[in-house]
Amino acid sequence: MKKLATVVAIAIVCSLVFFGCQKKESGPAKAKYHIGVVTGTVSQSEDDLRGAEQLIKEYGSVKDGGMVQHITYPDDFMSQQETVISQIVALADDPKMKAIVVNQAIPGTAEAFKRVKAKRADILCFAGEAHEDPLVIQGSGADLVVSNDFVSRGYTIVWAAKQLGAKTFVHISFPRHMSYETMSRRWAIMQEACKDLGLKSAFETAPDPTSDVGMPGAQQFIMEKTPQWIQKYGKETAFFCTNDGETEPLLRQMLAYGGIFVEADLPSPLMGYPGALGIDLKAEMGDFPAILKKVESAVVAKGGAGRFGTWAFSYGYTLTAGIGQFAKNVIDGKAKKDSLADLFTAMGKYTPGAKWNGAYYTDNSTGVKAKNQVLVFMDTYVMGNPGKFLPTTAQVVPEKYYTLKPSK
Amino acid sequence: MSGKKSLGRFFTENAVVIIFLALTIAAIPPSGLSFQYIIQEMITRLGRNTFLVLALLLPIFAGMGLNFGMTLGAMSGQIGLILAINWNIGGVEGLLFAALVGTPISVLMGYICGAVLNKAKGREMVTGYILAFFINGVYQFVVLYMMGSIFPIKNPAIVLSRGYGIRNTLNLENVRQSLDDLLMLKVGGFLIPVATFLIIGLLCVFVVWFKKTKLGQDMRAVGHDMTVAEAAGVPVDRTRIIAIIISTVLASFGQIIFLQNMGNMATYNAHDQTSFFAVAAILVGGASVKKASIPNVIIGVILLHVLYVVTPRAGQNLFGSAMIGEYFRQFIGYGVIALTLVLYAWKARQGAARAREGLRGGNSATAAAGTAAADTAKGGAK
Amino acid sequence: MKQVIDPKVRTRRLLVRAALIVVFAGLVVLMFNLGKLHTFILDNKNLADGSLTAARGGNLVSIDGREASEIYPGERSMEKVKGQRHTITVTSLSGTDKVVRRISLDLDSEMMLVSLPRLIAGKEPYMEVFVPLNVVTTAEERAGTDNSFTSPEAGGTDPVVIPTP
Repeated sequence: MKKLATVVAIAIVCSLVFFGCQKKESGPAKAKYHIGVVTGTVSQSEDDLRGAEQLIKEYGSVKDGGMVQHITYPDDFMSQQETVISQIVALADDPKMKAIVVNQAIPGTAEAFKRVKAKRADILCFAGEAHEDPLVIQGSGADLVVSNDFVSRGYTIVWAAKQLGAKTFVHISFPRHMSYETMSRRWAIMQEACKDLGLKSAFETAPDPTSDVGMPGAQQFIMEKTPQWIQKYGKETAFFCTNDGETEPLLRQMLAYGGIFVEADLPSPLMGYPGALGIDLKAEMGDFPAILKKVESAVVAKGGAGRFGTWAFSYGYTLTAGIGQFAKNVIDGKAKKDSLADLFTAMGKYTPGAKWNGAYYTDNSTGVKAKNQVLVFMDTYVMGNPGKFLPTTAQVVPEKYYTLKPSK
Repeated sequence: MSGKKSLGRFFTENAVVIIFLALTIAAIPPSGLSFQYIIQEMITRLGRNTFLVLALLLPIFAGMGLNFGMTLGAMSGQIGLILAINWNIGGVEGLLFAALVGTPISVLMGYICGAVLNKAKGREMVTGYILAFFINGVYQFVVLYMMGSIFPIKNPAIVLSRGYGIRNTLNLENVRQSLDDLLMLKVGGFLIPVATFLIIGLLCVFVVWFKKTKLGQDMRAVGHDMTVAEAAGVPVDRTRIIAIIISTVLASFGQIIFLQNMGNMATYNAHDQTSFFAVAAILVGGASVKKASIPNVIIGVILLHVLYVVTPRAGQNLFGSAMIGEYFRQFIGYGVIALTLVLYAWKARQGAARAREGLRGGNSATAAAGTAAADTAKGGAK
Repeated sequence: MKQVIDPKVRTRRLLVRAALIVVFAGLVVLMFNLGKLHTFILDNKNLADGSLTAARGGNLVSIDGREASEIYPGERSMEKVKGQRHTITVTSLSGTDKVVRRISLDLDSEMMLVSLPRLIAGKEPYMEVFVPLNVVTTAEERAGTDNSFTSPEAGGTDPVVIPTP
């Protein structure tokens, strides 16, 4: 009995400590309005989170009287949609909230936007890298959705692989990802592009990290399998993996055993490379040219010159910070929410000197051009001594890929 | 002496609820959320989740522990919803259609689950948990490969454009909140989905009535002691299977109610955490593996979900990082569930000790308490 | 262990079960019928042969007594309805003419194109199954063809050197 009483007492004391810990708000908040930013955690998508931290650095956190209210969604967001939705909607509880930015816009975002708009129609809703079907997120009342250009990239990644000397193209994924319309369509385009450009294509299945094996199990699988794949397909094989977490072990093994890597699903110099190379980038945080330089020299030192590519700036980081900046510009009346140029100006702030390409999304069955979804991509940077940019954004993607329907 | 002891006993018996209540209340101010928001969210979540949690009650009565196999029912309900969306059936009729389609599937699933659990008496919970993983694989196979190729699915909005397989996220626009909106009352600025609560109320009445029927009595007998029940002529295996079947069917309805409120469905993941959250709620509400009641369910849903609403923001405001807020929620939520299970084992041992004391004629424990404790002890020993 | 069941009880049991299955199937069919959604595409365009023209000034169209929507000449509007029997009420915006038509749909018709000029004139068939167009878009509407953008070099930070390939 005593023990239990102690437990209860400790719990109560703990809760009192929480009360005590609560920081008193230092005077009235200074920011005129607030912007909610929703990203994944460090373990799911570090780049997105760092983008939010950049925004906080610039405009301050709501807690300290600043402008940015940053929250994260759960790691197993697929099975916890209830939490995802209520976390996003909770942002609308703040009367000063004027815009919500969700990057990545995981499933549940569309529903959350609907609820936010029902409650507070004046809140601007922006989504980065929508996981939901384009038509679903477009119909949610989102003011702007920015995604990577999965159609063009389906072609340009294979094109880039060929430029780097690949003979075979291996696509690593798993059923849940292939149930995304965007990924399933991109793989169909890649296969067709391989055929046209004279590459062999192959599909390899990896475990789903959100399933029971978890991320460690999935990474272990990739660690063990990559050498076998390289043996099976040869060293002149380009690998593409749809899962970001699985990219790190893939890169590590490719550095040791060979193979070509054009870019990750959501490319960034931070995607997989720091872990695979075992380099510390604390000093360079947020400074992408410096990060790229350090990653590049490490890749070259391990004999990976000319085989490894990325985007020069982190896609996830740029998206969070860029859309956040765009939201601020729109609220301040400095930008229009349907102006592509204004969006690129906001995103360009975080990618000095980089080449972008993008346009509004066009549905391939109705031909309707969406007014609120933009697809973007950047030039691929190939690491080496010296490294070089591949002019991917200048490629003209043949007409037929746009209307290509995935076959059985 | 006796008064002090009974106060202590009250704490012991309700330790989980009290700890949880303290944590939740403590987390509200630092979260910075308005009461208006928290109460509205609580009402919504009560309507959304209670039915699912109620589905756990019968197997507990039947002594089968917490039915992690309810995930199977959730999957059946989802198949019903997929078909309703495919044929463009909307509104409450769409939901009823989904429930009707889900019923035979969940009866079959419940039968399979019950039969397997009968082979694993005493280890029902872990068996059900693993069984759910197995059926999840079957579900993925059916929905991702057979739908569209073997079962005709026409609606282009839900089939992947490769021609087979259902899309990753389904938009339930046609049935979205149709049950909630059927009878939506606005009381003092709060929206109350009366129809949903009526259905939950009906289920509660059913549970109360069912406990009084012959079958319900059999179930309690089986839950008490299988050998004795068998000797008394109760068909133990059959009763256990029926308990699981009813639970599975209710879970399938519950999942449909849950999803209509959510408005969209993660085709391959929506059921992953269903059983876990339901179990967490009922445990937080003060139920144990052996004993549960309707108040446990309602208290549990309220407490767990208010905690889930406030802790992420509270953690964030306390520790200054968004990420920690999210981890804080998981840490508190799962920590308390672990605590519940430990406390349960500990209480069972305490009960046994008290029972012994009672038998020795100790003057503080009454005979009645002694018997009650002995029951708990037996449960703990199993 | 198996008990011998009275044949009378057995037939009765069988009958009850059969009845239950029939009720179940009936409910499924009933729900299917009641809940089936159909889409009306209300089209206020002149007919191709020029025989009928859209009412000048536009119409107010209301389905099953819902809030009427204004449809001007040359416009299309979409309405979702539940069930098979519907009433379409068309009022001219000037408020002079009012036409009420009762429509019953087939269960399997998903999208129906309703021609308002024909409907007003009472000329059958004013309704046809809508076949979605497979619109081919022009290249410049798509992503990846234009809109390329180079971020302005920011002052302060070292710009990335872009070697021309």
